[in-house]
Amino acid sequence: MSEYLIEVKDLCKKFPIKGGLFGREIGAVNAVNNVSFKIKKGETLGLVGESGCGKTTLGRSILRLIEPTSGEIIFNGQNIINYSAAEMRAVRRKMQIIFQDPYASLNPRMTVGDILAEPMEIHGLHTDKNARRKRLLELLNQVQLPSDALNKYPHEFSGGQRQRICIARALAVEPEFIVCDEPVSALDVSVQAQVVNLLMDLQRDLGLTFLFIAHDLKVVEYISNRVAVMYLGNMIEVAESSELYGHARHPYTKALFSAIPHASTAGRAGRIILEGDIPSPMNPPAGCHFNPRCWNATEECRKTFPPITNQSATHQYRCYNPIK
Amino acid sequence: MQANTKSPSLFKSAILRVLSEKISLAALVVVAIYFLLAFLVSIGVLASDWGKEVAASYAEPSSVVWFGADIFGRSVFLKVIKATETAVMLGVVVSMISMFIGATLGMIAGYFGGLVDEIIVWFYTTVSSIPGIMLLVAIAFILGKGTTTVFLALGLTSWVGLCRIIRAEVMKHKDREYVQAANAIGAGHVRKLVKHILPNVSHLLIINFTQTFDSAIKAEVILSFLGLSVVGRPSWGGMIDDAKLELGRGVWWQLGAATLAMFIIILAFNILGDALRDALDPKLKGK
Amino acid sequence: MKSEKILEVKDLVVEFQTDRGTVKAVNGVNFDVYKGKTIGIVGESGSGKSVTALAIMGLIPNPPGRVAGGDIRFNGKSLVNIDPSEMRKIRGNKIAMIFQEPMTSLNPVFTIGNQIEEVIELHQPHLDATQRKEKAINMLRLVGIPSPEKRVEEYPHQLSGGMRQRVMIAIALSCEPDILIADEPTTALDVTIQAQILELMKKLQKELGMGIILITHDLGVVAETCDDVAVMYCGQIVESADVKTLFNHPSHPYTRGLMDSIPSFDSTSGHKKERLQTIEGMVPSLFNLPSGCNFQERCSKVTDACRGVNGDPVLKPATDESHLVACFNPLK
Repeated sequence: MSEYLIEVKDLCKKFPIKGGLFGREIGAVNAVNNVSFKIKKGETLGLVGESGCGKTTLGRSILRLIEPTSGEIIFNGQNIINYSAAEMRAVRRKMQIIFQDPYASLNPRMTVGDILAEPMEIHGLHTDKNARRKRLLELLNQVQLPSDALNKYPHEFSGGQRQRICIARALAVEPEFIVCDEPVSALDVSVQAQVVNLLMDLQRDLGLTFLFIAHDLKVVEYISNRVAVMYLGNMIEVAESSELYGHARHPYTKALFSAIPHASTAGRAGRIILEGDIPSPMNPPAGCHFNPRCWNATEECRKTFPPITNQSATHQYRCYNPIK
Repeated sequence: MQANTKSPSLFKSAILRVLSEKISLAALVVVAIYFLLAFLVSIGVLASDWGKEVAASYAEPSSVVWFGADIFGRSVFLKVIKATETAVMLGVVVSMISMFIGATLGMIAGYFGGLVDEIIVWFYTTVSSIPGIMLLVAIAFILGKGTTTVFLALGLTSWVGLCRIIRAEVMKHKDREYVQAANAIGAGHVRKLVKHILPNVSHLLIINFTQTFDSAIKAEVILSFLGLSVVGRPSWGGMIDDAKLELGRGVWWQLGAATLAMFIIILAFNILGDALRDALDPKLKGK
Repeated sequence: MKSEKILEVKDLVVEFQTDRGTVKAVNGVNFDVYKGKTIGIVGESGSGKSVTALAIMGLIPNPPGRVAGGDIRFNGKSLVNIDPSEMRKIRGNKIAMIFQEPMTSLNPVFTIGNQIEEVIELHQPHLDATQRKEKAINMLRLVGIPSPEKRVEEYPHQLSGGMRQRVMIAIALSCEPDILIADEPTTALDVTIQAQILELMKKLQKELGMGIILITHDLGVVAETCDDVAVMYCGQIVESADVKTLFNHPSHPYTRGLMDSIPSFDSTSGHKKERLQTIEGMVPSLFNLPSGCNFQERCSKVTDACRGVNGDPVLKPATDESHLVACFNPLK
């Protein structure tokens, strides 16, 4: 039995571009391009990147909320890529997702009690009325919401509280793996810290495995064991979080971390400011997609796409001319 | 705060909102009065003797005959009341038919997309391209004159607008995160459509009901002009149609009474429709 | 060397009428803006920071809002009860604003050249069409947009987020204003683009000498770009100081709490770190503020003095005359 709860191999997601007279397919956007990674049970893998990098598409593709174009998703030893709807339903108990926007991810016409009970109804859990009520109260307790929340509607709660409801919904079926898709980005700073603490406590108490997608590098680095960096659909570096911050090999990673404004007035010498814009994923540069903005770029970088270099068991990157 | 009291849902707070504004409350009362009149007529309590001759032919309005009399000496007032039953029934039945067809097709088209959507869009585009009157005439021709024909004909021709709106709204909601979340917890198509999306587009159904009701009543007038309206009972359209023979003789009271009765209910429904739209629009709900 | 003071906000109060009653979104705010210097206004949702900016621009929607008290003095002249036509001459011309969402702040049906020229036309009518166009191209060059002669004919949807924000800055600066108000200008942008935009703003300030009011929730941005800082909570300033003092000696428990909520990179080895220090509870509703200090229910340093016996806390000097804090039990 593998120690890896989830293994993704060469996952691809292409979105067709239609054009011309009859709406024929004239090209494709490689939103996710041959991405491979593994996550151990109980681990948190952080996933960062800027607009167009494909991290959100990747997160949803793993759960098959968006259908991948090709590749394998091995969950608990089973490749779920071709599972039927019925087989997926069983798997969905084990894999859940928390979305970014706590306002949009709750049905405004349902009470909190109904929202939390729905996953149990679908999977036939706790069918006895009393058992269900007990479980609902238990869930509210786990996310530190008061018990009278059951009869209220989402619009009566603040952003942070709504996010807790979303977390409770994800926990309702006792999953093993949760994709957190920017779960704290829409929240105030002080509330973010509360929700991050909550997620870490739940992970410890319930033995959960997380894929934590975010653009706030500080939060990702804090909560994750390892962090993966994406650029225009490719995973360009992955390493343990402390290693990534201090010893990034890929120039983009270095620039990314360097761009973060720091809440201290220590000198900010050596700040890297990248030239130019993030290219559109519809028309990525040839060779290594980062080469036009890279100060280390060589001829080879402009010609071919770099393969994976394995620096250690936990640190991989794709670069022909990495930082020393 | 007791654990068992439900806080007001969006609908309940919308109703409260409508009731608190004087004008929309007045409109609601007017609509209620019309529905009540219609009900009383249908069980025979009111205006059951509308066909009796009560005055001379074309008698002028007086204290005895409030709205005058028609060519057969029948009380125009009683005819207007009796016609209210026709109008309300018409409005309700037509709205129901068109809502059912329009909403179902709209939801299926918006939700499933692809080929299903294309077929439904083609279908309603075709239906709406045929001039409404011709379609009405054709249906009436096939089914023969009569009340049922009128209901069916109007119902079958007034669902396209709602279908378009529902389809667009469902398409918007289909990709919203709460539906994706339902996906993630394992919900199937039916559950997503009925439990999640439908309640979020139902406000459009309510608003559309008021609009369809109004247009059904107005369409009945046109049917009367074409001689295709209900038979055997008075209708506002029929009374207005009679006016073409009467106005030349200076007889205005049948036209006036029917028009007034129509005007009031249409105005009331319009006001109510607007008030409901404002009250039910989820975007206007504060955070 | 003290800079010239160009804007004074004194005891500003802004009220809004809602169906639940009147609420004070801004309740007694004081700060100054100096030529060539940047003041950061930091706060979370409901702190009143954006409303303050709108009040300075005279853009508070009326109804339901209004400036209910205090004064805003621009170069000595009061902006509070000024004639709307006078205010229009100032808005966009002497005081300009850029917003958070460059996607929706630009009109999609006009070219970006047109949008820059519109501002120039309004405030510098003596320039003819050729001169306006030239100025627009120069502005685009100034904000670092490559090939400005070509871009000036493009539409907003053809530009990326970072580019659009640069265009917003170009529009704002086209009439060489004395003050630039930037309301969360980089929040919606990617972090590498954010770095570019902040660099740009600093460079432009050096060149053009305007005063900047930077509104943000991101303490990191404040640390890197501002000279002075004011921290707002529930419509009031709870602490203000120059940036170095604030970060080295935060005095108000809320300021301290905000700084502690942010994970820092300096936490190192051994993977599982301690929990983030959080501020307990939630921001109170503005309809239901406690008597005494607004922060009392969440404060780790609360005492009986904070609960109303002494009224509301008032800004008083902390470590030195220019470092003010409104607290009955400030951190030492």
